[in-house]
Amino acid sequence: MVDTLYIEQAVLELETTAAVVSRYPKARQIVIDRYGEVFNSHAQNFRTQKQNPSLILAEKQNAKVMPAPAQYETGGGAHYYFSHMLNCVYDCRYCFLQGMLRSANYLLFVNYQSFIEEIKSIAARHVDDEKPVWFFSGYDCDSLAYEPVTRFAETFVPAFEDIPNAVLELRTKSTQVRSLLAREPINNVVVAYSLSPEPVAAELEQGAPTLAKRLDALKKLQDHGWRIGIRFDPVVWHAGYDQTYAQAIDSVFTKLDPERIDSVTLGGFRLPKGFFKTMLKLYPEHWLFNAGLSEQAGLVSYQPQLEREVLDAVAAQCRRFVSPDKLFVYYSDEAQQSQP
Amino acid sequence: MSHAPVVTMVFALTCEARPWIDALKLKKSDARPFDLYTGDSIEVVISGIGSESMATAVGWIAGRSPRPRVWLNVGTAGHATRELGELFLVHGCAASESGRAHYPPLVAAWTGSTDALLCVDHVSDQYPGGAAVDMESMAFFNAAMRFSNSELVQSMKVVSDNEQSGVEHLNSKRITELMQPHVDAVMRYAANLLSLVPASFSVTTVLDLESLRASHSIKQQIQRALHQLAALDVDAERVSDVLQDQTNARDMLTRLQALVSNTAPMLGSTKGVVKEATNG
Ligand code: SF4
Repeated sequence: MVDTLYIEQAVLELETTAAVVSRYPKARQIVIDRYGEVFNSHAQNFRTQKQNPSLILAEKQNAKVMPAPAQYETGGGAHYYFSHMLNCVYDCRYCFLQGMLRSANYLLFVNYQSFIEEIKSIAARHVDDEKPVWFFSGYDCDSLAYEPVTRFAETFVPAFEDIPNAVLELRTKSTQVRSLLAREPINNVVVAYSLSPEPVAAELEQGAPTLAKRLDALKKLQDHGWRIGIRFDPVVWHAGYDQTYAQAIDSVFTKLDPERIDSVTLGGFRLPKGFFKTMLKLYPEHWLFNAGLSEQAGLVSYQPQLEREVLDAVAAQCRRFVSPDKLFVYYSDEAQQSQP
Repeated sequence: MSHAPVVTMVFALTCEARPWIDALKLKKSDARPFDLYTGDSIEVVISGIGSESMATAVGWIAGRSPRPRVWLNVGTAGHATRELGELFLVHGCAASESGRAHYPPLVAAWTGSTDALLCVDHVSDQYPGGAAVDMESMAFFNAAMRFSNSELVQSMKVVSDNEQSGVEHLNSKRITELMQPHVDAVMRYAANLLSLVPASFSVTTVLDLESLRASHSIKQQIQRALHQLAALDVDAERVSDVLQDQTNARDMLTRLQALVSNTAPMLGSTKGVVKEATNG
């Protein structure tokens, strides 16, 4: 429940603003000039704010769509990402947003149409590419978790019907799939679920649906004809991780049809050093930030040998169900080597 | 010395603070140069009027002890249309109508009114822009946020004058009367603020780092390894065992780091599982 809404003067009249505001009739409304005054002010504490985040409605100015880092690639062509929202209703202990942002307030950019126009104009530049151009959503928030309030998917998914050379990937842990199930699937939209074994999710993904509930949503989407992706990212090292992941992988691929899964990606827990330091300060007592890690070239990740051991074990489990061309494993040391 | 968090309330005037001093039976301290009243987990400081006094008082009280603090500025403010005696929480504060505003993060529960506040240099009977007006709030926020996170630095105001009844009707007795009804509401909010202070994390002392002959860097790495082992909930006894008979700091570090590397966290419990015996 949000009890404070900050609304930029510039978006007061937008329809999306009115729709969001109507969801919170009891919230206090504070009109501001620019979101940065609230979101970027100094001396904020992410952990404290996460106890009761406010919602900021703002206009995203300047570039709305950015080139995506190479590691996002899952076999597609050019790839970009965009964030209609910063921060998330869930509270995953490993979430890099805790280290990247000063504020835990939800920042929602409500000028959806300008995002869509920019996506269309970038896609137009790639119209002659051999492979479709990918647009990733859900790296700075969860794409669907706040759907009842934001109507993000309900607005953006239909827009991709008019951009046949583009693919939209919605990254999520949410079961808010009603708007997707209420319509015909579109072949250029992929719903990619971040999954973790039940005990990992219970311990590290506060507020997010259980693995079983995510699988139910995935199954419904797959049965309805949506393209789906699976992300075990981060894979978290812990005592008995091989059994924990084996069980989860069994349940995922026996529930879903592996043949009709677009891609499966794996990556270890890793963070840029600066984010890691901030997160360690926020949660000094948490085992996640104190187990098995080392730093190389500005990236904190599992010690290389440990990361390989863990990812290889989980990848081997996945290979029992999915073909090698659909499985993508990101090793931190390889990512570093490929950096310029 | 206690390290429990404390509510530090800063008032410009004693007549504003009087209802809290009396209701909470606070004791006046001998401290100087600011009047200070203390009780269990609470201290009340009287800063005097104006920005400079406020900033100095905040720095002074913060310097008296390193206890974690939540800061609450309580005082009077003018407002064009609000009723005399109304209490509100400040949701935005600026030093001028065109200046950059500070928006205190409203994390602690508060169901009462909130309002914007304009902080001016002189006593004024102008109430511009629909905001409340006072003389200390901006200095309070700027100074207190040097010592605590902004979520823990808040200001509450009671309307003392408005377009119908100007500052000329105010005296100390009247101010105390206006503040009096709000003791409970303010203290409930202070308790909500206090509940936001994160629990501190401490590492059990198994080693006297100060007296260890080692470079600063080695000591830091040892400290980090001890921190990791504490977070993994490895028994202090086990850590002591690993260090047994070691006098060389580098060897100690190697052994501690090996223990960290070999300790896998166990889900559902903070206890880590040590994979194998560590002999350094
Ligand atoms: S779901 Fe994603 S964005 Fe949300 S808290 Fe978890 S990791 Fe962060």
